[in-house]
Amino acid sequence: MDDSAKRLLQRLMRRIPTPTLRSALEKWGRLTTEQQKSMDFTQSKWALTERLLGICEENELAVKQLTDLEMIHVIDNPDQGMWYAFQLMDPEDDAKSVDLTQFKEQFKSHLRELVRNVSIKMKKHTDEAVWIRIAWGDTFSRPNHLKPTYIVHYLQTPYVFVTSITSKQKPLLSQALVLSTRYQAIKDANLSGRKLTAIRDLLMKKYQQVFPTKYPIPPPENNQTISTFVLLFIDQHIEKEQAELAANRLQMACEAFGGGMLPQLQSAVYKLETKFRDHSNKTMTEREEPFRCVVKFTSTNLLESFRHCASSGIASTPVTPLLSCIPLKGRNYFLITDNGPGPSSQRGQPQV
Amino acid sequence: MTLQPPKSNTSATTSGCFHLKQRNVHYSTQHKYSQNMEVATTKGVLSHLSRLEVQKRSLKSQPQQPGGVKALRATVEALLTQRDQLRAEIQTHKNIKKLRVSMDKQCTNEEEETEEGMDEDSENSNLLRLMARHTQLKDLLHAHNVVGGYNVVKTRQGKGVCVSVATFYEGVYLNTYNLEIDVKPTVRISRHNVPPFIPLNNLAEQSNMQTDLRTLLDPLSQHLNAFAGRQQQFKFVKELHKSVEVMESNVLCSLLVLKFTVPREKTAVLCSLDYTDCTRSLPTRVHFESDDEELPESPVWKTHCSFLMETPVHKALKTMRKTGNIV
Repeated sequence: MDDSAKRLLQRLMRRIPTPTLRSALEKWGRLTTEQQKSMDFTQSKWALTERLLGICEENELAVKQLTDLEMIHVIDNPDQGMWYAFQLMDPEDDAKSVDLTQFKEQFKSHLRELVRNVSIKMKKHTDEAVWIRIAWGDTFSRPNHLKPTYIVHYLQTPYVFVTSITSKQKPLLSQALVLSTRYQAIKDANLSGRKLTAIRDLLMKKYQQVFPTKYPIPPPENNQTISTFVLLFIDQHIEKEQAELAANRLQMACEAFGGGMLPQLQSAVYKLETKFRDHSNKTMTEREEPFRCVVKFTSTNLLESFRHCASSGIASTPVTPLLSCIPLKGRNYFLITDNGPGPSSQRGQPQV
Repeated sequence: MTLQPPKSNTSATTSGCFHLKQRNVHYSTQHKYSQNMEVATTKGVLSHLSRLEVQKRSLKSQPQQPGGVKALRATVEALLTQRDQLRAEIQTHKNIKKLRVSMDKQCTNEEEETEEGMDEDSENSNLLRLMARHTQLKDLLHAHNVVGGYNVVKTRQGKGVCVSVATFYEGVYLNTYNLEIDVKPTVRISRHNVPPFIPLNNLAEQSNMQTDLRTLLDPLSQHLNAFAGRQQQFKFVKELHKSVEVMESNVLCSLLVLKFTVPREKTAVLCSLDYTDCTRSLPTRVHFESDDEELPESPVWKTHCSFLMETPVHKALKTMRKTGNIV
């Protein structure tokens, strides 16, 4: 095994946690049963790495096979790293009949035309996602397998999810994607997150959405545990009076963000370009350039937090469109500018 | 039946009744007609008069209706009873209308049922109430049909609606898709949970939704139901036919590639089903490929081909396995 293969394996072993290592190796299928048995998963990572290195040398495995292992691991653990969503625009007439073979061939040939030395691996997952691994090189150097880009695309949908790509590589990838999917353009979808499953579910509308019906949702059961504690201090009549209002708030919160488990976004960023409006501060109001500020919300589960804010009354209902457009438009990065000289609101009309 | 008045001067003196029954005259050309008219003029008047005389005589000689007065009296009776019936019906309708007004109010306000003062006895009033309810349900059904059978809920104090499109396949209800639509100032879809591979934006652009929402909802329902049908078929194939390997499919369920194994020879046959028409749940093209090049051309497999074009794939596979054509 040459140096680059050794380094790749070491890097892989650092990346793959021991609990998932066994199943990854089994799926990889490059180890004989004896070799698999000889791996003692109670040992330290370093020891395991050495053992695996030895096995790979025995089986004469090279970079090509090791990248298979990496891909298996990433596909099974997609919620790592930072994923960015892109949207393909203006499909041609034959976009909806692009099949897997055609897409694979076209993508590989287009990308190879644009980049001299590139290593492309494409794999179809059981949930119809096409996974692409790209190791980038150039005219003078071989593909760098230590910093690959991963791309996920579902055929016949306009969305592409990408992780670990540089600004130089982005236009090359965009070109190859547009040509092979038979669309005319690709743009940033302004949605990013650590969990691929979350941003995917948000864009593909795979989470439970709530719509106005004749029958509103019953309030959640766990309210009762809170109320037994609080009953000591709050009159039962107040509870009863507030029940209908609480149910309304819950309905509106769920309509804005969704019901049940929500896709886990970690942040939402609003970049504001507006005018300072405090008449007591003349220096600021008289500036000609727009007043810029960034508002960032972070949470382990941002949409869940917003929904709870709305249902508990911390945020006013009906939910402001600035927040509800996160799931509605499927984005978490917004640039908000003033709509021109309007007397309506203090913040100015948001133009998203 | 009107005839063209002849244009020659000789006809200027003829009266209207001449134009009625001139069997001796050919009407094919104007010239011929005017010529014949000259000849038939004198003949026509006298023959017509004699015909009228004959008619008068025949009328006189017609036998009188036996018991004419009696028959007329009977007709009068029948008409009187009919009038009474109609009057009663009108009264009933008026009563039902009154009942309906109060029933409709009850439905919207969910108030306690108020007893309307009825002149009839309780049995009649129960019957009337039943009839009123019947008309109410019929109206509801009609309204439901007018909106195309979709569930519609008013939102935002009448400024919007939420339409639910249900999907089902083989008698089983599947997903329901919802569209929140703003009605004022223009008709516009504000929110929905239709998956991105269904061309909702295209359908909206091509529809006439500003004037008739059904021009959007009906094609959308077609697309969604066809998709649900295809999705179910693919699901059944994966669950019920484990011996058939699914080589390829996609999220839109517009393509399915299966690998069959022919028993005895153990040859593999690749079957591609293209569903290019997204409004249908049956394939538009079925194609077989095999190492044995003659196999797809054999009559057995040709019948399989047409069978798969007409039958849902999971059912077709069941039959094909039963008849021993595939493992």
